[in-house]
Amino acid sequence: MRIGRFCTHHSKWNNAKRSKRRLDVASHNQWLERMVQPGLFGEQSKGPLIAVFLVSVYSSDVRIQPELPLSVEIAVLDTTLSERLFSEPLNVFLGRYAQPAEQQDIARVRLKAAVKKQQDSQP
Amino acid sequence: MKRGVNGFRPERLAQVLDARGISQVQLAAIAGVSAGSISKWRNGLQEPQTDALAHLARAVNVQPSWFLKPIPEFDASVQLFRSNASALKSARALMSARHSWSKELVAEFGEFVEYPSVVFPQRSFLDPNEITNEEIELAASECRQLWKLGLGPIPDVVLAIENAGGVVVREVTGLARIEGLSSWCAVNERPFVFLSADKANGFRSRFDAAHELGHIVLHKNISPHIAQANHKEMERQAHYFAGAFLLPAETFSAEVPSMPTLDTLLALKPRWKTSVAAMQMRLAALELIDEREQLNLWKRRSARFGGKSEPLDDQLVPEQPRLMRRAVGLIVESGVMLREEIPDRVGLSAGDVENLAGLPEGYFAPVTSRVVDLNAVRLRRG
Repeated sequence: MRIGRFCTHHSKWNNAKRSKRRLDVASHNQWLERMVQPGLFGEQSKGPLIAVFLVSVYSSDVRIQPELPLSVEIAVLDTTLSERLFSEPLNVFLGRYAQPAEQQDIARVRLKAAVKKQQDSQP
Repeated sequence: MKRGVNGFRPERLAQVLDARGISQVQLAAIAGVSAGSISKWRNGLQEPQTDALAHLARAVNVQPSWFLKPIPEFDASVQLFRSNASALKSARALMSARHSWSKELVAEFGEFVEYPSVVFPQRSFLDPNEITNEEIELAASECRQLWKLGLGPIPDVVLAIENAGGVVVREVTGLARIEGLSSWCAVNERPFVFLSADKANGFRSRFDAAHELGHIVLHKNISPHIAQANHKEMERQAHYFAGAFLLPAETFSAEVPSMPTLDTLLALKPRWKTSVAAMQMRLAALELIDEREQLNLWKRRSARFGGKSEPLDDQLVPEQPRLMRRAVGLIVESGVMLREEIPDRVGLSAGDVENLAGLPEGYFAPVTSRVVDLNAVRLRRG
């Protein structure tokens, strides 16, 4: 898996395409593109890699929360970085994967009081 | 006329025949007595003499005194088997006898140790037909809440049952057609689960344990004759409970995409520690896939995996019980009883106690002392 990150405006994610490095990272998602939108031609490929971006989405207005992102999204983009194959706020994404509960081991036995007393009284 | 051993219990003979899975004729041949004598002893028409009792005990690998112990009335609920319809009556009898032995062991150890408190959701259904799917969902959810298991995958189902005071036995029985058995015990006042270890499949064993838990919670008060008449429906309900307990609707449904494929479910298998088949059933129960999709998935599963097993089946070690093993360990470590005395006290063979209590093979074997030649030691030091 390849992980990239960038910041953008909430209205249009136009900031992503500016980086050659990001386009290079996103090129791994060609096989996913075909999965979402199968083409008539072209080889079916199975990709061992997937490129995921963590996107900080800011409001485009300085009056609305300029210091902090409105949301942080986890996104899988196409190879041109213009279409979102998958995008979801990080908290929603993580919320879907409930963590296994920490299971304590309390299946314990203990000596009965009378037996313990008897054991203690023995020399 | 010589008199037999006073206090011989014919029901013990019947029980050991079931537990060993042998017939009267086979036992007669092993013990070197006539089949007629075995029949008379079994029916209480005659009692064996001392030497015959010794032969009999040796043949079935128990202590002679074991035949004099009455069998307490253990069952506080009907014994419910997880088996397919073709399971033989003798196979059920074998499992039932060993299930009773596990209760007897726990009662014997209970003279010295205290077990965890029993904390199970209470349901008082008298007829399976009054149990709806909504009731089962609620019972499974209550179980998770009561045991603080959250809504994610359950790390260890057997531990969850034992934490709540249930006793679980996992044993190789040689019976592939019966996967489990459960009932409430009147003497120990706690539920008992018996799991077959014959299919070494951790995913399946977890589901079996959850299925038995369903019987324990839902069917405690169902009388034997009603259970017999509604066996199929009760099995369905226990299955439904297992699905609801292992794969809660809220969280599991959120992780499955709208058109799940076999590969999607296979990817979720290690996380939820549940087979693809069980997940398919759960998706259908939650109406997340329709009948056509379900059939499609079954066909694909059958074509790709075959009917018997699935990929990754060998990737999960079956969960092991610990409660009885700990009871024996405490009794030995605290010096209440010597290790090798325990099988004699309960009257069963060392192998039986080891298997039922989940102890390592040879646990009760006497430790042979090594003789050290002191002269040789002195010479080496010199």
